[in-house]
Amino acid sequence: MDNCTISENKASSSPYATTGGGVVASNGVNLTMLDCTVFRNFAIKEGGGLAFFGSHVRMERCLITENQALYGGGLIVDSSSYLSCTETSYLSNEAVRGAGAYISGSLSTSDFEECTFAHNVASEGSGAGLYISSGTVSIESSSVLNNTGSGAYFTLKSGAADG
Amino acid sequence: MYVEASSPNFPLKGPFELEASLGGVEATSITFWYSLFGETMGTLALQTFSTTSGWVEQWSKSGDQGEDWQMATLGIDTADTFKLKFVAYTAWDYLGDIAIDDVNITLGMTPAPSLTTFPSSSPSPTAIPSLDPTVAPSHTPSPTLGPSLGLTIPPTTLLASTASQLQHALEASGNTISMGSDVILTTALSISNVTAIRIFGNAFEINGGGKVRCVNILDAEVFISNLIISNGFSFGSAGGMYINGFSQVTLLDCSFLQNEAYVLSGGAIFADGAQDPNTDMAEYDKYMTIIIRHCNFTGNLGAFGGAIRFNFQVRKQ
Repeated sequence: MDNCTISENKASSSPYATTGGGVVASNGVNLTMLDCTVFRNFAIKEGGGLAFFGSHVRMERCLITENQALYGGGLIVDSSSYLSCTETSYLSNEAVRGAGAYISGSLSTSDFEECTFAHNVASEGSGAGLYISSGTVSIESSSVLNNTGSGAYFTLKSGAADG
Repeated sequence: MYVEASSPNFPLKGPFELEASLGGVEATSITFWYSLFGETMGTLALQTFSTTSGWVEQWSKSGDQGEDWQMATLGIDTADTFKLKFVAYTAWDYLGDIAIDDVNITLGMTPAPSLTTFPSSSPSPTAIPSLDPTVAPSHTPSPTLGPSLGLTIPPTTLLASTASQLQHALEASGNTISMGSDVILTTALSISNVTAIRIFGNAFEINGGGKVRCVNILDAEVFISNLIISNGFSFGSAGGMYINGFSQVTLLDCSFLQNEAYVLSGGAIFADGAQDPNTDMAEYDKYMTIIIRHCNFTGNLGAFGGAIRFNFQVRKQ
């Protein structure tokens, strides 16, 4: 996908599963998102903007803003996913935990380079910018600032956190 | 024109454009050769400009078209077409050089000050030379083809203004469809087991009326541009568009608005590349490929992927 806008979509219609308000990639998908805007989407459960489960995703120059969910307002990564995220901003997203991004899955690997996590709001106070539950995460040349709640939250189970 | 796809010209770089003005004379048809050879081939399109319609896409190819040069001939039935341009985009990786060569344009009449009942000499179309490609890779077009002087080339575009016209046009490979009206559906459009289908939406809308899914794409190769897909509904997955099998789908300048998948996946699009659980994907030489470019997804509703769910298969172990 490139130069796309994904706005005001909701994962909320079903009583069963309500995940990934904007885009879900699951079960081995290779997804590339370039220069996309993910704006004001909503999920009752997790991944207000984006939800990646067991997929290989590359994001460059995207804007993830004003999305909402219970966990992972902007993004959730889980289940052996690989995420490479460059020059992408997570701004003003909201969640109970992990407002900008919620990273989980012990076999997941997420690399953030030249990214910004700012003005995100975690109502429970944990990981307003990023909440890293498990997995291997690399953060390089990035900014985590002016978030409401702790900027970044790491659990003991998470692997390497560089940068 | 030659587009080198090697770094830094991938992924998804473009548009690379080559534009030509026809000096105030209408074009009526165009013939050219193209090379789209590579595993990660992008898209080559031909657009024409008329004073009445602006820039309109007349032709497009995406994906690997094989090692040989291919010839394309198409009629241009848009009045007052005075400019044209080739537009190229690369795809995911470097194996996707794009080239065109030997472009011949058949010209119509120069606008005349008055009409005569029967001209003593019929308008004589003339071919103009090549568009001065920056690099001209060598190939061997058939010597018998020659310039397109005086050829009568039938229109290659089918106009569709109703759901039944649209469905009929979608049932044969190679059809190019130009939408002439909004269409409200009572059953989903089916694009199944066909190749080289092109839909130019012309900013018209396919509307599911809040009752039916808009489009099913099953094992098909489809290019769709400038189309609005709205108000599709599915109780399960894919309110707007369901894509399955080994489909190759390109969506350009499309909008997906207010589609709903009530209990399952993908309010606007559910692209399900999963095969039968016992299928060994290693036996196949291709996968579903979807390119979504300059598209807008707004106000869609689903349970798992409000706008889009991309899914693939858990391979057999």
